[in-house]
Amino acid sequence: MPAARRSEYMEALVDLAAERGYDAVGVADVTERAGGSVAEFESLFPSKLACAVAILEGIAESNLRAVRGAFDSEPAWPDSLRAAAYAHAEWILENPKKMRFGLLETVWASELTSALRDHLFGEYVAMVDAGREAAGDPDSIPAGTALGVVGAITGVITRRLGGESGRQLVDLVPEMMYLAVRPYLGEEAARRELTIPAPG
Amino acid sequence: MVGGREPARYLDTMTIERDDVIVPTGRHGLPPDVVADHQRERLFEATVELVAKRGYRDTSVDHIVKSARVGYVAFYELYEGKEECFLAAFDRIVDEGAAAVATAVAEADGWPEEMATGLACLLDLVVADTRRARIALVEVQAAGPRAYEHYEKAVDRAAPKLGEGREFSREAASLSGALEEAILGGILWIVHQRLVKGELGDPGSLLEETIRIALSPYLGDEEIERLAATSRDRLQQS
Repeated sequence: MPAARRSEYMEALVDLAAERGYDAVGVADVTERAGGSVAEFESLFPSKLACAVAILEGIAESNLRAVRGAFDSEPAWPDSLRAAAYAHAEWILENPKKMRFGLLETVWASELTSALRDHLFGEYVAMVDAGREAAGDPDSIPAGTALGVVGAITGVITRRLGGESGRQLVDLVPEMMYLAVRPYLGEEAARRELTIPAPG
Repeated sequence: MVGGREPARYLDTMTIERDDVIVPTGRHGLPPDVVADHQRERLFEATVELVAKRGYRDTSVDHIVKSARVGYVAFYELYEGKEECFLAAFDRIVDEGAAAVATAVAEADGWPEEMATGLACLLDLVVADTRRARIALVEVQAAGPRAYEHYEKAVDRAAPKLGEGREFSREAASLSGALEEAILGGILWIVHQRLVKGELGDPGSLLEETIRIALSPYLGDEEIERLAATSRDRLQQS
């Protein structure tokens, strides 16, 4: 079953990168962890980088399915962004090593991995910047606002990818929403975000 | 450190320049500390130049020592390797940048003005030397976990000053420390993205964007508009 073996190698690379850093992991380490051989690995992936790219594509697909799906489930912004934020926090809680792999370990590995992250970020930026349509005066909102908001939230996430601190991400959603809503809808709407409890 | 070491042991193979003064190759009576300072300076310049141009990963000790015209032995007397040399350059850029911002901010009156002035100074520094900015914001994030720790510590240095804005907002005062962390991350990310794309764009709009991101969680709409307008005027005048 090549597909199942591919997944096992990909999982091994994610685990090893979380333990010792992507650069320090060789193909032989991956095959040892996955209980396979270099020959088998090479029959499935042309290189370690190709394996990393496959992982990143899977991450982007799975994360966006959850986050975009939540965003689209609410008709109005910022309800849509709030739903997306909780879905994102939950996804990270379930996949901390993958998030780490996508955000920190591989972004510099090649132009392709960097482009994959840019693609993912572009989706997040679009969901934040949808606030423009809900804003009273969209032209007054500077072009880089959504980029700043996504950068801000990414920084907060990056520091909470390990262990227990991951749980904080869900608790931090109202604050991050405060930050995201403030430039688009003003003070009152931002304040309201701090009073809205987590779903479920 | 080379303090107390006999300089002639390794001076035979190198040439040192500083401004228009060239320290000749061969034996001479310069104190070891002076020689080490010269070498550090040259290695700093070479590291900044090369890493900004080639990227951290594609820069080697070999590149650095050749560009700095410092011998390998002398390099390894000063640094354990590329990472330590890079971290020294990063720390120096951050320290010098922080000192410049502190000097600019000292002339401002009140926290909102201090923040607007500090941001304007920070962006001036970025525009004035994009090589240093690349080291401090882009390459440091590609240079491994130790470098990332240095980066996070550098960002954290600015958090208390930003957090003084909580005095102006009941809501902000009730939030966790992640607010300042997030705001600083957002500002630096905007600059990071522009550096990566190689186009800083209009400094006025960059300043306005960063002022809004930094201050809008703390201040009312009117005050934000006033500061954004003042910053535009200031740039037009300069």
